Amino acid sequence: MFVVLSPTHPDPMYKQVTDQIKDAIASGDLKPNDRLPSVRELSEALNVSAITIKRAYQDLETEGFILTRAGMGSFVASVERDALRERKLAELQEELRRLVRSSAKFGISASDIARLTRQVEGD
Amino acid sequence: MNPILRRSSFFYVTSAITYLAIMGRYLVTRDWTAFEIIPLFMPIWLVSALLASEDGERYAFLRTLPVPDSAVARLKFSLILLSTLFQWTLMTVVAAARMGEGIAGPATMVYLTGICSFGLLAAAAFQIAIWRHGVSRMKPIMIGAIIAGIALAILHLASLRHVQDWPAFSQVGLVEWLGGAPWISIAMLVAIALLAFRAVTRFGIRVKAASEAHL
Amino acid sequence: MDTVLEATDLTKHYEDFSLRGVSLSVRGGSIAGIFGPNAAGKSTLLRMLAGQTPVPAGTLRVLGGSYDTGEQDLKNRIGYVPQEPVFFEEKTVEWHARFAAPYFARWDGAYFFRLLEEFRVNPLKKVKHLSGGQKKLLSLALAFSHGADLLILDEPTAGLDVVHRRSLLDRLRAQAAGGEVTVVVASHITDGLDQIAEDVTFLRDGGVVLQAGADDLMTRWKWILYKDGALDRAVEGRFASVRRTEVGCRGLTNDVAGIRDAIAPALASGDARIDHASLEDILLSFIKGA
Repeated sequence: MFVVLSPTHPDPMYKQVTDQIKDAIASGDLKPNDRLPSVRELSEALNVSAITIKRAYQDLETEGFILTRAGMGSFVASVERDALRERKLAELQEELRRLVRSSAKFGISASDIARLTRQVEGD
Repeated sequence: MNPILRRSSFFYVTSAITYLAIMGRYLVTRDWTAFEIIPLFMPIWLVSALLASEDGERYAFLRTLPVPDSAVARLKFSLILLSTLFQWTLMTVVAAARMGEGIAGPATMVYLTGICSFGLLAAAAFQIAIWRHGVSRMKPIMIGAIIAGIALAILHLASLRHVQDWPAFSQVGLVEWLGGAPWISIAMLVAIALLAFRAVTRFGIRVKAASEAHL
Repeated sequence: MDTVLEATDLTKHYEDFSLRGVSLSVRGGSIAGIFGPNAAGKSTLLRMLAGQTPVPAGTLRVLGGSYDTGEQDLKNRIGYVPQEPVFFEEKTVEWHARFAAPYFARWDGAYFFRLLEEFRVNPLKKVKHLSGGQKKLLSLALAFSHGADLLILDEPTAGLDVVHRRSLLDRLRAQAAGGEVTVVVASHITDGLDQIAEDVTFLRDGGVVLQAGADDLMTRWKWILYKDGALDRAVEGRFASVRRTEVGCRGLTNDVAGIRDAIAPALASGDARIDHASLEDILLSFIKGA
C-alpha cells in the first residue's frame, strides 16, 4: 500500500487517507480480507494524529469499504469492483471537465485533448 | 545628566550624605577616639555603597547601548575615586580643625590617608572581582568583609576604652614616624595610592571587557 | 549590493563549549538566518556579531568598521535583541526608553511608543510585571527605534503569540525589502523565520554544517515519496535519509536534479511522488545525521 499525505492538498487529511485507501482497494493493491494497519501504526507512519486515522477508518466503515472487528483490527470488505470503477469514472469526469475548461483558454479543444490521450496511450 | 552615571552614583551619593551627617556630629566631639574609629568605617562605607550600586546594575542592558565598555568601567572607577576623595577631604578637614585642640595629631592625618588609600584599593579590587565573578557570587564575600570590618572596628574601640595600653592606629610606630613630617608623608601616600589605582583601573577595564560573568 | 557583515573563522572557547571557525557574509538589505539545535552556538555567534562579547580569534568587520575601534558608532547603527533580554526589573518600560534615548544619535521616541502600542505593552508597567514575551517585545521596540541599519535578533519570535510573531515577520520582511535594513536572525525552531530568510546557515555543536541560499536549498532538497521497492537500492543509497513505513517510503534528497532520470519511471507510474522539503526538514536531517 502506498499512502501519501500532503499538507498543501485542498482536501483535509482524513479525506486524503480515505480516498487513497479507496484507490488502493479499487486498483487491487488492497484485496478483500487484507488487514489494514492499525490506527496507531498508520498515524505513526503518516505522522498525523490518531484521531485523523480513526475518523478516516470510521468513514470507510460507514461507506462499507472496510470492516472493523474489535480486538482484531480493520479488514478490507468484499466490495463490488464495479461500484468503485463507477466512482473513479465520476471523479475522472470532473477532472476532465476542469481540464477542458482551462485548456480552452489556450485555444485547445476537447478533440485536441482526445488526440493527446491516444498518443499517450501509445507510449 | 548621563543616565548611567545618574543611576550608578545613587548609592555613592547617599553614602556620602550619611557619612557627612556622622562626621558633622564629630566636629563637635570632645572624644579623640572618634578619629580612631571613624576612618575605619570609611572602607566599610565605600564597599557597602559599591555593593548596593552593583547589586542593582544591569550590565547586559548597558552593553546593548552605544557606550564603549571601557567608558562604563572608567565611570565606575571614577565613582570609587570621587567617593574616596570626598571622605578623605572631609576627615582631613575635620582633623585639621581639631588639631589645635589636641584631639587630633599629625599622625592622625597620616593614618586617615593610609586608611583611605586602603579603602580606595580595596573597593577597586572588589569592583574588579564583581566584574570577573558576578555580583551574586561576590555578595556573600563582600557582606562578610563588611561585617568583619565592623566587628574589627567595634573590637578596636572597645579595646581602646577598656584595655590598658591598647595601641591606637594613629600611634603605631610607622604612622607616628611618618607623622613627623605629615604633609610630605601624606603627599607620598596619596601619590602611591593614585598610581596604584591607575594601574588597577587599567587592569580592571581589561577584565571587564573579557568577562561574561557579570552580564 | 555591499557586504554589511563579514566574519571569518570566528572561534571562541568556553569551559564546556567551543565555537569553531565560523564564517559568515551578509549582504546589505538581506535577511540571514542562523539555525540550529540548542547549544549549537547561535547565541554565542550573535553576541560576537553584535559586539556583546569580544572575538578572541578570527576577524569581524561590521558596517565597514570593527568593534575594537568603533564600538560606539557601530552600536548606534545596530539593533540587538538578546535571547534573554535583561532590564532593570524595578523600573518601568518607558523609564528604559528615557534611559537609552540620550545615547542613540537617531532615537525616535514617537516610533518607540507607537511600537509599544502595536505590541500591546503598557509603557507604565514595571519590567518585573511583564511576561517573557513582552520583555522580548520591549527589546524589539528598543532595537527598532533608533534607526538601526543592521538588526541582530536572537530568537525574536520566542515567547510571542501568533499575532505578534506574524507582524514581526512581516515587519522584518518589509524593512529588508526596502533595502534600509539588514537582518541577521537566529532561531532554534524555524517558526516562520525559515520563510523570510534569504541566506541560511546551519550551526551544530559550534560549527557550520551548511551554508546556502534559501531558494537554492528549496530547489535542490526534496522529499521523494515512493512505494517500497519502486526505486532501486542505488538511488535509495543516495538519499540523505530514508524512512520506511507500512504505507510507503520517504527519502530526502539534496540533489533532485541528479536523480531525476533514475526516478522518472516510478514517477510516471505513480509509484513515486516529489514533495517539497522545508528548511526544518533539511535542518533536522543534519541534526539527526552523523
